[in-house]
Amino acid sequence: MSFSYDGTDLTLDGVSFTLAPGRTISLLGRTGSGKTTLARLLLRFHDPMGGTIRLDGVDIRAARIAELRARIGLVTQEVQLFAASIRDNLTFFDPAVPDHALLTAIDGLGLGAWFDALPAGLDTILAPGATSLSAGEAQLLALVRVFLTDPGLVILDEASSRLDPATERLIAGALDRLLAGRTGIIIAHRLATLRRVDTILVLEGGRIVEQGPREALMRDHGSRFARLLAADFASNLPTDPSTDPAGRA
Amino acid sequence: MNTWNFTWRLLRGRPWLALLNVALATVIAVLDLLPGPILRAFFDRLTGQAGIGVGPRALIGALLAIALARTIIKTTAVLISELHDFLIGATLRRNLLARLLARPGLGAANEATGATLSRFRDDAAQVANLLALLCYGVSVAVFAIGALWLLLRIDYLLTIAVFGPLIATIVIMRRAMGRLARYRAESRQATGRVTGSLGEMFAAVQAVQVAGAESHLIAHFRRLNEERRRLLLRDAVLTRGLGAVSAGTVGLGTGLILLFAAGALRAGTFTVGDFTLFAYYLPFVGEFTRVVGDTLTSYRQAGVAFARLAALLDGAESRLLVAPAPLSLRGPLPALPPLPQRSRDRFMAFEAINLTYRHQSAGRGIVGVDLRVERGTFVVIVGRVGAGKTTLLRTLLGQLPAEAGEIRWNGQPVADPSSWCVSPRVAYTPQVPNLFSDTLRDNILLGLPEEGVDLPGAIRAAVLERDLATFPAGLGTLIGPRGVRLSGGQVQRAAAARMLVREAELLLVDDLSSALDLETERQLWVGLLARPDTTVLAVSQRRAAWRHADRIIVLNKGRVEATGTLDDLLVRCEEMQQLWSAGEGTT
Repeated sequence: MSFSYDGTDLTLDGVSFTLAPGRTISLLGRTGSGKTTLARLLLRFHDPMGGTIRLDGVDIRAARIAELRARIGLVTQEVQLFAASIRDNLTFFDPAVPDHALLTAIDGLGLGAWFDALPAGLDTILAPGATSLSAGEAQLLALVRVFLTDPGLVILDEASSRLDPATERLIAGALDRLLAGRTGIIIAHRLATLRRVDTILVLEGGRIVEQGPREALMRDHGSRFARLLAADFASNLPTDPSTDPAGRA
Repeated sequence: MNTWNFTWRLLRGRPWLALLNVALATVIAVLDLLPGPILRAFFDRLTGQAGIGVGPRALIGALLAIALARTIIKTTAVLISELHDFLIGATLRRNLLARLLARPGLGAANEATGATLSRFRDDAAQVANLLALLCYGVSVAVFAIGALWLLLRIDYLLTIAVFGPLIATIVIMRRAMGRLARYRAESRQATGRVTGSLGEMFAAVQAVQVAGAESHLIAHFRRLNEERRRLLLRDAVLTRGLGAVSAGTVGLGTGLILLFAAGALRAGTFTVGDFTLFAYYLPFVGEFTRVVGDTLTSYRQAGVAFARLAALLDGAESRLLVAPAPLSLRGPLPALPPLPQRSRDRFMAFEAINLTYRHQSAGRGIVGVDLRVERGTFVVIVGRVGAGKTTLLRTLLGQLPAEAGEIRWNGQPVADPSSWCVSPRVAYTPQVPNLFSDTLRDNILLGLPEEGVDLPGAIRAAVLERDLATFPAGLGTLIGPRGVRLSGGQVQRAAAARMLVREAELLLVDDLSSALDLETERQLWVGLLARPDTTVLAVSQRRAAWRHADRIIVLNKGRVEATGTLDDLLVRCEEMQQLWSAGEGTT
């Protein structure tokens, strides 16, 4: 598929890939390479100018948008919260969702301890502008939102890039449970989230420049993915390896 | 400060306009009074009850001349009053905006933007309305005193009958004041919830669409609107009800005059001219009653409005709200005043001593933080979520008022960090950058003259050059509301360019690189630190930044746990070891 926001410059240029049910793919690429646009096309915020996107073999343009979106969950870096209760924030003000469903989702993601620490449980009111929640807690809410709707496909767009590593680890467990048995698309700059991934897809200037199974690309030292990993690894070494207390060097 | 204090300061802010307003109102009152005695003379002459040497034609001419003068002066008065009204509202809004910009961490941070907008719109208008009523009130009061004097000379009993109901109305008004203020405050809050919710929905459009929750959101919005309708209706019914009581007083007065005057006319102690005078003044007395009632109502409501506006500021700062301020309504906008660059201000060291700030709601914050940043160094603040990293930066900048402690620039205490820590001394990139629906150029420059700065240099250092080449209109590209047409990384680098173009001596950076890939981030740090004489104090979660740091400050639960180089801290600081190893799963 191909896509352009302004009709001239292609943001996505002849991108083709297949994602099997239950598998997870990771979109890598520099900022502005078209990763987020790809996710927006899947959700039909835009339609591709050329090519088609098929879900279970059916062109997504043939389905009703509401039905399509009901099957897809999206978690973004910015979590939009409302000055309302935790309950309303999780259900988007849908009074039909029973409390036990919310509690089950919270437990299902392994967030029981976090939930128990809230002052008034589901009735806890969030201050406007989400000042009463940390970025990490906001992400936890976003994960519960998606878990509640039980989608078949989950898209994580930079979902954990603003968290400190310690909080990110807390969320990693919830992410694992969210992705279990679901098809996943992970858009990430940081490679820490990629353990769960089967396939790697590297985008550059709207084109796929590398595509393959994660294990194979890791072993191939000439691959872009292997180079990214090496760069990431190097950046994580202390300046003088001999002083690294854990001996990771 | 009470409502009267606020009002008085606002009036004094533009004394000539206020005086002109009052003077015109007084002239109008006199012009309103004059036809009374003329009419009386006219009718008395017609009925032969009195003789003054002026003929009916001359009296009619005088009436016409007065009507003409009144029309001209009233038109002028309305224009002046509207101008005064506008300037008062604009002054309030300007001062409020200036304080919010200086202290973005205060009250406004605790509510949705839309709710703050309602304060700007409705509450400022309410205050301006009170001032207009007060000036009009002067006119009505002058009239009332004149009329009272004239009427008392004719028949004191009848005069009491006319003014009596007025007193009763004022008593009723006073009794209703408390309820009126409460209804007004509640209806304004409901309006704030509606406008606030609009802003939230606008920001969350994508999330709502993905979740397919459009109908639930609309239902929620309906509920908020219904609540607003109910509270506004209650407010309006009471306000109008009180207005109706004032208006009804006029009818009551006319009836009383007719009853009393009938007997007096028959007895010959009351002429047709006297009756005309009473009948002519009566509607004005009704108007007087209405204005007194409205002013009392408006005074109470303006008190609520003042309190809501002041709630966005520090208590001690509420007088700043009503300070006179230039509005720059005509001609080109004034240039930013250049900061005096004295050689002894040249940045050498920035220090915080025992700095403390705790958030009111959560109790989280920073406690007793000491830090020092010397010229040309790169200092990184690390810590887990909620450790107080962003709070520390915002307190250093004066965006949050420190409860204790001190900030020093070259060893000298800084009294007001929010006005001191500005470019070209200090520039800042917040964690979530605020971009405006404007061109990329204007977003980066934010009012700086392009010819005076190195815009290409800032764009290069911010690693935005390559992206810029792909934008159809280059720097003139419109980036959409909140910069939606840019990618997450582009937003952050545009904010970095905005900071760099200010060429400040000290850069404060809050988690700049969270939406950047590794290579872009590396280029950004290299570009940032390669600038000559650059001093950076940064919050960062990224090891890439930690490795470049001359010194790392580890924050834990709002306190400085340790300070040192990365190698040093990895050996002796347990928190640092945990932060480091938490990211271990990288490979």
